[in-house]
Amino acid sequence: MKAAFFRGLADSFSIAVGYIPVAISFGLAAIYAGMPPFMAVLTSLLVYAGASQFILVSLIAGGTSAAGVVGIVLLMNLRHLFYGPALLAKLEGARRRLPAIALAAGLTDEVFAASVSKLGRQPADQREPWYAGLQLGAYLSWVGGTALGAYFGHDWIQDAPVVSQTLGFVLPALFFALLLEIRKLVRKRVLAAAAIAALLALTALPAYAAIVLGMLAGAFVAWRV
Amino acid sequence: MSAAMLLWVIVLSGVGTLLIRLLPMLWRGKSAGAGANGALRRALDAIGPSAIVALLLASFWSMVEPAAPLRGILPIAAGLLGVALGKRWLKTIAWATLAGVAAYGLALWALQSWAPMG
Repeated sequence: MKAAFFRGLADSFSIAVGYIPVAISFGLAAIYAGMPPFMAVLTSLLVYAGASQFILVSLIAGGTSAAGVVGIVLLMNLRHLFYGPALLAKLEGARRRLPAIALAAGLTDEVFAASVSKLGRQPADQREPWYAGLQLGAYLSWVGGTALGAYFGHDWIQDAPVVSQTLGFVLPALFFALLLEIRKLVRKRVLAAAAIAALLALTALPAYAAIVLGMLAGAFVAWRV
Repeated sequence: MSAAMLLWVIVLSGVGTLLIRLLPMLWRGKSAGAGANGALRRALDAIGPSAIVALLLASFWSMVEPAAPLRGILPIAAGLLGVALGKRWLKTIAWATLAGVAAYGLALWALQSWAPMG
């Protein structure tokens, strides 16, 4: 079990590569918005949901009411409603020791995507510890990156705009690498439906809503065929 | 916003996000005794790949500036090629990601060197 946990921890490297630069950016954004560094780290410790954390910071900086900020953050994270059941489907048949809260706490977009791609390749009795290692590594990289950005990031990035812009491509690159990995797990028409629905929605709706619609379109097509 | 109110915002956002992730798991855990049927299982299995596609497109959408689409698209194309080649030659997701980021950064640097923004 320990070996599976550490294998998951090692597999979280691909997520950490994406998380650390973005988390550093979040730490910086929070400081620029006037948050004390420890509040920035606390946000990553408790909320642990990248895009909605950036929105949280910008809404606070813009003077939005507390209820408004919480409501919008939760609305953005509603897409995570679908991740838990899909993850449990992957863990079916696996020996379960961890409580659901331990599986749910670290279920971000990237952890979910990496789990979808790799969980099926783990032996059934090792899936849960592998997943625990994966999500712990991702969580530590996110919180650690935030701390780096909040306490030290300003000096590193200020004079290198190309580096700063390049870091913005890390998560899209990770998603594309994951897509190449899992593209054969489902029918092409499922991926096409998700892509078309997301693209159409992006022309009129915020990104988080487009993501939900893309997921629902793909699931609907898979359910019908 | 006061520090105390900010703390409440962070705590409530964190608890709410955790519940969004946890409650569907608890619900499914209770109702999964008979296992998901074929269609539901296919739908659940499709959510992950569909989410990856949607997340990818949403992240690109925010990177392309309507005023200068080529300036956004060319580095993205270079980055995607870098990921694809990295995946083919280096095999792992992490190295493929890094290869894509390197290609994106180089293309961005080249574009800004040859045609600096006014």
